[in-house]
Amino acid sequence: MLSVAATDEALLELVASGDQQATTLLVRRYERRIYGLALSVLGDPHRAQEAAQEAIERVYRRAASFDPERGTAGGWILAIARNAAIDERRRSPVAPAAVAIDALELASRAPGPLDQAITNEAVASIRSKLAGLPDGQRRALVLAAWGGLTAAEIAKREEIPLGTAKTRLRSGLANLRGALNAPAPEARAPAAALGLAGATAGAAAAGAVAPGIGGGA
Amino acid sequence: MQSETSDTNNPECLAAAAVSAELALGVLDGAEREAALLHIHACDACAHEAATFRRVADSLLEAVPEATPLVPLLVPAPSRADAPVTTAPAGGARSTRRGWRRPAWPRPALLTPVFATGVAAVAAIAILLSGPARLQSPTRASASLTLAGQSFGDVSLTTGKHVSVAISLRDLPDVRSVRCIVWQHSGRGATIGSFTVSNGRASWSGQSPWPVSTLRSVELVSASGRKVAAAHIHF
Repeated sequence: MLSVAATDEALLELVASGDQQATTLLVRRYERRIYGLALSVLGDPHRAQEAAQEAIERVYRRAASFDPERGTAGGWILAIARNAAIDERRRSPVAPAAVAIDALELASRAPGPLDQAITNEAVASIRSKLAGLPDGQRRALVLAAWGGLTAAEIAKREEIPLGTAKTRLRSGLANLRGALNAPAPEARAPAAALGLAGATAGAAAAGAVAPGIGGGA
Repeated sequence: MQSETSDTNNPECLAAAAVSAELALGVLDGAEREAALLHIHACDACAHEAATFRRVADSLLEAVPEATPLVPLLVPAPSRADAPVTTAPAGGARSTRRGWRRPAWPRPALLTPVFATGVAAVAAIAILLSGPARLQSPTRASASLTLAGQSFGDVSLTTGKHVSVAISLRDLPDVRSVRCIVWQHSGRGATIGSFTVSNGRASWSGQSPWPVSTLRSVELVSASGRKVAAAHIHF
C-alpha cells in the first residue's frame, strides 16, 4: 500500500514504473500548483487548464528521466509545467504585460489558496524572504519565475532597460539565496509580503533595502 | 578542472554570471542559453554558482500561488492488455486522448437530457458526413511487449493527427538502453527513438512516421542490436 506521505521523489520513481496509485497521488498533490502556475503564465483559465493537462502528461512521460541529484522533484515538475504553459503561450501569443499583471493580481486577490499554501512551512519561508527583497527585484523574480517572462519581456513590461531587468533578476536571486541562508528575519503578512496588489510602474523601481538583505536594482 | 572561485577577469565567466539567474529561472533561450551551458559544464566555479541559483529558483517555483483547476486534471494511465491486442472504439466512455483516464466521479453536466440530445444529434451528423466506418476505426491499441513468451511491458498506439507510440517497460533484465523500431507490413522499418532503462523499468513515447493501420509490429532492440522485446499489432 502506497503511503500518502511518500516523498515526491519516491512517487516519481513509482510513476516511472507505471504505478497507477502513485500517479494519481502525484497528480492530486500537484494539480493546484501546476494549474496555478499555468494560470500565472497564461492568464486564461481555459488555456491554463489545457497547459496543466499537457504538463501532467509530460511529467508522466518523462518521470524515468528525473535525476534527484540535479534538483528537487517539485522544482522539476513545476519547471515542466511552466515550460508547457510557455509553449501554450507561444502558440497563440498574448501581450506579456497583460498576462503577468493578470496573474499577479489574481494571486494577490486569492487569499484562500494563498493562505492554504502558507501553511506549508517551506513555502511560507520562501515567500517571507521574497517579501524582504527590494520591489524591483521582487517583481522581476515573480514575473520570471511565476509569469515565465524573459528579461526582455520584463524590461518591456516594467519599462526599464534590458540591462536593468537582467541586473534585477541576478541581484534578486542572489539576495534571495543570501536571505534563505541567513537566520529568519521578521515575516510580513503574506499578501502584503508578496507586494502584488496594486503593482504600478512606480512600485517597480528598486526601493528600500530590507534589513539583512543586500541592495541593488 | 578549473578554479573553485570565479575568474572575474575571464570574459566567459563574466558572460555566464550575467545570465546565470535567467538560466536558473528557466527564462533563457537560444544562443545565450547554449553558450552559458557550454561554459558552465567546463567551469567548476560557474557550475557551483549555477547550482546554487537553481536551488533557489526551484524553491521560488515551489512557492507559486495555487489555484483550483476548472476540472480535476486527468490522471494518465498506462494501457494494459491481457490479450495481445486490445482496441478502444472512437468515442468510447473511457476513450481519452493519449490514454488519459477520466476521474471516476461523474460530471453532472454530461448527464442532462439536453446534453444527451445534443450528443446524439452531433453523432448523427458525424455518421452522415463521414460514414459509419470512420467512427468504428480504433483510436487506441495496446499490446504486450514480449520475448520467448515472457511479458516485459506494454506498447500503446494512439491514432489521430500523430501516431503516438508509448512504451511502458517493467522487469526488462540486463538492458540499459533500447532503440524502438516500428515495422510495416511491407517489411519497411524505422527507428523512432531510443531511451534509457533503469532497473528494468522505463516509460517513453515517440511518434510513428506511418499510419497505424500499416504497422505490423514494434520492436525494442538493445545497444548491441539484440531484440529484447516485440509487440505485434493487428487491426
